[in-house]
Amino acid sequence: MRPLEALRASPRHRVLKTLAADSPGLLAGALVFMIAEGLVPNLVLIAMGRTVGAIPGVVRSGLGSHDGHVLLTRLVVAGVLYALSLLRGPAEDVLTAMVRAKMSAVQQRRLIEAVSAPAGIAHLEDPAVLDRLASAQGELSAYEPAGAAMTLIGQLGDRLSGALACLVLAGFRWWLGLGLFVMWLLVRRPLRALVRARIATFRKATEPLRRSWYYLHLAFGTTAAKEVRVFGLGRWLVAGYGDRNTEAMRPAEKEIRRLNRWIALSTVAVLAGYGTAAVTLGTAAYRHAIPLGTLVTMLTMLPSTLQVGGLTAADIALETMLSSVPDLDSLTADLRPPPLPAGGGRPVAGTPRREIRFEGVSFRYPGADHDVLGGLDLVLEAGRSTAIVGVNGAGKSTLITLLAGLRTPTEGRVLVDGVPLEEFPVRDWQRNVAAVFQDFTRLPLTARENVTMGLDGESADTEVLEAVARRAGAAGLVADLPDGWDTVLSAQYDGGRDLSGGQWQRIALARALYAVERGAGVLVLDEPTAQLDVRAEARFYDRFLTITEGVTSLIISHRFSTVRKADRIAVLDGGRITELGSHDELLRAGGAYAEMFTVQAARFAQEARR
Amino acid sequence: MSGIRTIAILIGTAWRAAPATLVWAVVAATVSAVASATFPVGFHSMVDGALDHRSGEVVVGVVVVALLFSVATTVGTLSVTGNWTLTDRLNRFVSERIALLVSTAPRLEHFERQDLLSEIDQLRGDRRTLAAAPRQLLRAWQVVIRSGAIMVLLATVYPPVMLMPLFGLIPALADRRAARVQARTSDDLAPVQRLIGDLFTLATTAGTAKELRTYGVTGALAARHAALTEDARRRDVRGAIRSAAWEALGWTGYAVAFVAAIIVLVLRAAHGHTSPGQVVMAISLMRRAQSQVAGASDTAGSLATALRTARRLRWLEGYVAEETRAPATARVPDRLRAGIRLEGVGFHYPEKTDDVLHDLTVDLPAGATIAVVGENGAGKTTLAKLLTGMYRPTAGRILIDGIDLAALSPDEWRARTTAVFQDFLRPSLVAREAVGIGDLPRADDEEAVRTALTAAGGDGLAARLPEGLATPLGRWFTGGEQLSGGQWQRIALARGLMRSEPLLTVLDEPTASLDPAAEAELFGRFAELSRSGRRAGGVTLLVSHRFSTVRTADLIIVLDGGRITEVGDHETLLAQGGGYAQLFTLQARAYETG
Repeated sequence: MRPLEALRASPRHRVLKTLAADSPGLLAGALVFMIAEGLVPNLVLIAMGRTVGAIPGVVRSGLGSHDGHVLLTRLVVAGVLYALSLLRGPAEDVLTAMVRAKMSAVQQRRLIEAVSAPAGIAHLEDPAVLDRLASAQGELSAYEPAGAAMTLIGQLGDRLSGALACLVLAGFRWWLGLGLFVMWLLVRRPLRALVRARIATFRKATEPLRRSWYYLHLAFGTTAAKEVRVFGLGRWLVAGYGDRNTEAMRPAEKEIRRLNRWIALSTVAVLAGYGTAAVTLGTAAYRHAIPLGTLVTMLTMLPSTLQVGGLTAADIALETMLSSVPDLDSLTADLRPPPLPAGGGRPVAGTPRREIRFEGVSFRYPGADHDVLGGLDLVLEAGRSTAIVGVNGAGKSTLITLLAGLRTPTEGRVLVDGVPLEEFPVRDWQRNVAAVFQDFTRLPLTARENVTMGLDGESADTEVLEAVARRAGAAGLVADLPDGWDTVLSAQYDGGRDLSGGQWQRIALARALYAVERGAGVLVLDEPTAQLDVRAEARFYDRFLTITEGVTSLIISHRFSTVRKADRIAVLDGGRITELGSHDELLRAGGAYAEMFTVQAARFAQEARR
Repeated sequence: MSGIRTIAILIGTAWRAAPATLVWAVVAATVSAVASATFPVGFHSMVDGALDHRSGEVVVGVVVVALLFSVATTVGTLSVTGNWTLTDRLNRFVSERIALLVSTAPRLEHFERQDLLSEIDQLRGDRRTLAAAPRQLLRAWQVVIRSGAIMVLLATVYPPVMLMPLFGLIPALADRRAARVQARTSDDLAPVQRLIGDLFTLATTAGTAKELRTYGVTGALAARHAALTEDARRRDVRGAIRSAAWEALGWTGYAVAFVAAIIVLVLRAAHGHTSPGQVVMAISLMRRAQSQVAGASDTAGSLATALRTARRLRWLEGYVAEETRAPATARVPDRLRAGIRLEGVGFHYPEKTDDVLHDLTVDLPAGATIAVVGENGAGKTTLAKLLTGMYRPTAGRILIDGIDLAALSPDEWRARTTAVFQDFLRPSLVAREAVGIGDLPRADDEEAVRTALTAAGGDGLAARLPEGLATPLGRWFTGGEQLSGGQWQRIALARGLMRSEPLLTVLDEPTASLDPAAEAELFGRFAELSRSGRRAGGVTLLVSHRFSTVRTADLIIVLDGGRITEVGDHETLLAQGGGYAQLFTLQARAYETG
């Protein structure tokens, strides 16, 4: 890579460029600050030196003399400059807050855009992507990446200040300024390299570290609380965290020790540099080869040169923040979806008119060694309901994601009215599938937004809303909420309420029905009654026909009460459909379905007949 | 005084976490502080020595400047890296401490009471400030050393300027005001920030991203997130500007005092009362004093958070100690003879008045399988939590063979219980561990794990995993095998079967995603196991919505609105024609033929 390209690709450049692109005004303000940061402290020292330099003259000829005026003028200049230099702090605080807030907003927006770009969801299950996502948010370190821009600018200001101090010293003896400058650069290089190596080691440890945090998360959280208690897992989890974390951090600690050795070694160079400077200035002063004001300026300038190459906590923070910059860029680049294939523009509206056909569909999860679905053939007839039953792990939930275009079959294809699914705009097709997933989403927003999914503030059709709520059995629970439809469904928020699992399930169902009302052509229900009690389940079962009427629907359930109502039932076993037909047909066929049903029915039969 | 105790806790924590690193950090901080505060003495000697042509003084000055600069620089840098390690170690130590407290507190109250939970949440979120606290304290310590040195040196120039560092109080007070403005801003923004965080998680998590796509709202969600972020940003910046205005005011005040002090010194020098060398030293020192103040008020701000967090940690330690101080006046029986008896048991959640359970009195005979049925919210899960000792009854008592459960050590009692819950854990562990943690002492016992897995109907599962029981599970980590809902359930059931001879087995709707036949088969096995384990007389409590399973229980308890409405076996209850019979018939409809 040529130097210019290397510079362009460097995280420092990327950070400043992002800021420039998003708010040039802020960048300009920050650069003005940087120059002030470099200039003002040195000017203060020069002014102070000149003030002291005027003292002997005044001692000789008194305050009223010309020398006295010179002294007072210099004193005023020094005072004003000093006051200015003190205001750098508040100025930096404001700029930091503004830039950080801006950059944080930009980063979050870009991250959401990046992960939303692919139409599928496989990338969100890819540990490599999740790692980078966590890193880009700064979850892996104590420093927020959004702080990078301003920390960088502050650091550049410090460097500038140090360089200017060297320049001033060069005005006295050119080799002295240059020598100190070079000395600091030499000291800084290995230190910075080691800091970077240490951070890199830390990043390489990402997976073991995340593993250690997983134990911590289990010990901390509410998800595992009950089992942690029943099985007495607390100490075990904490030990699991401690051991793994110690192990993961060990290489990084080794880097620190190396770093310390280098720092100790650099003492020699620093001592030589400062020693030479002090001796040179001392000799010149003793010989009166240097005016008093200059001597004072040069002396006080010496510690300022440190800013060229000193290692501070800010360096560590900055390098850490910068280390996650490439993650954001690479996520954006890697997740950019390929251009739409030719012919991908068929209108989705109104489909399916005839059927949805799975043709020899196989699916295997990335990295897995066996197919979840293997050569599955199935036809969903338009406007009718199909139920799928099967043993656990048979791939029912995977089938839904294939139907919804969230995953792509590894073999075979899905045809809608004879047209391969990939010829439709994928996002339009996804929207055409109203699905209640088993792990449906619980938005911490209002009941209304949870049902309409109108996140952009569009007004909901209240009549439709009430109608779908009634059909989903959610009308009563919404009416009981303190603010009705406007109640936030999470107790974490002011005035919000938590719902039970069964109540949420009804909201999720209402959500899907609302989408159907708004034109979605396919309704998918994955275990829609798993969290409902007997009465609610019975009510659902009574409403089933109204719910699925006229919609192409696919239902997955273990409950025969639900399944048997479907127009057709498909038995999924070993990744294929092994039986297909109506409830009565399958009972007559006497296969696996009939067996499952009769075993269950037998448990009820005798009493039911009584 | 409690402030000092809290600081002592902070230091004590650091000492326990990394004693050598702490000692080193203290030494480095002290040395670099002394060196960096005293080098202006060298300026004094050099300037005055040169003016008066005294070579010895110049040489002393040169040596002091060169040496102290170098020491201040190098040791200062070393203390930066030392703090780095210290912070990492402490972070681990504090995380372990909090996790241990949270996860070994016997009951669940601290997870379910909003006030306790929010304390714990904040403690967890701010725990890094505890790790950073010794660093802050060391900085504060450096400020003390430097300020002391500076005051002493200034006194040698002209005693009144010694007061100069005190003027640092002006910006310090202003900064406190500024910090309050910022704290208020962040408090105001907290709910918005939480929502922003929640929306971000929704957009970036596979499970929820699915639904965002099928409802076509990925864009809308991103827009909502962006709008909220923008709103929060504006308010945040407004707060920052207001707080910076206070800071600027403080510093301007300081600048005025500083300039006044310099004028005094320069005028004294002009009259020959002070030497130029002293003026140089004084100016240099007063500039240092200023950076001290800046550092000090920063430190005070973050230290305040750390102290708050340390107080929370102390509170949690106390809370858990209080909770764990179990009387344990009795021992858990080796085996149940009579069984478990509920005597007028009532329960209401803390801070809520309405009872979840009222006056439950029932005998759960040793060796029996008891089913609990009722609608959502009838109190079934609460009953399960009371029996496993996660809640204490607010009225009445639970007797284990006549011994009050409250008199037993929760740990000992739990060692003899096992449970599978509806929202069971799907741990991203190796398959063997995911099952084995059901009985930690035997977690690595391959034989025991296989037996449990077989009993849970998951023997085929182990065979299907690429590396058998050594396969890592869960999609969270590289190479993890993703299981379906039903497969996870087998794992959870197997976990619940790891303990041999439990006195109590709780099955709280653990089979929602199993088909009815599989559920029935499983419960059959559980019942059989508990019967074969009769030697210990264990009680099995089963919560289910499926009457095909429920009917097999020895005893059925019907809960309605937190009260027991019916008790008996299936035949009896059906014959009574009450609520149970009604629910049963409702479900049986699904199996009517024709």
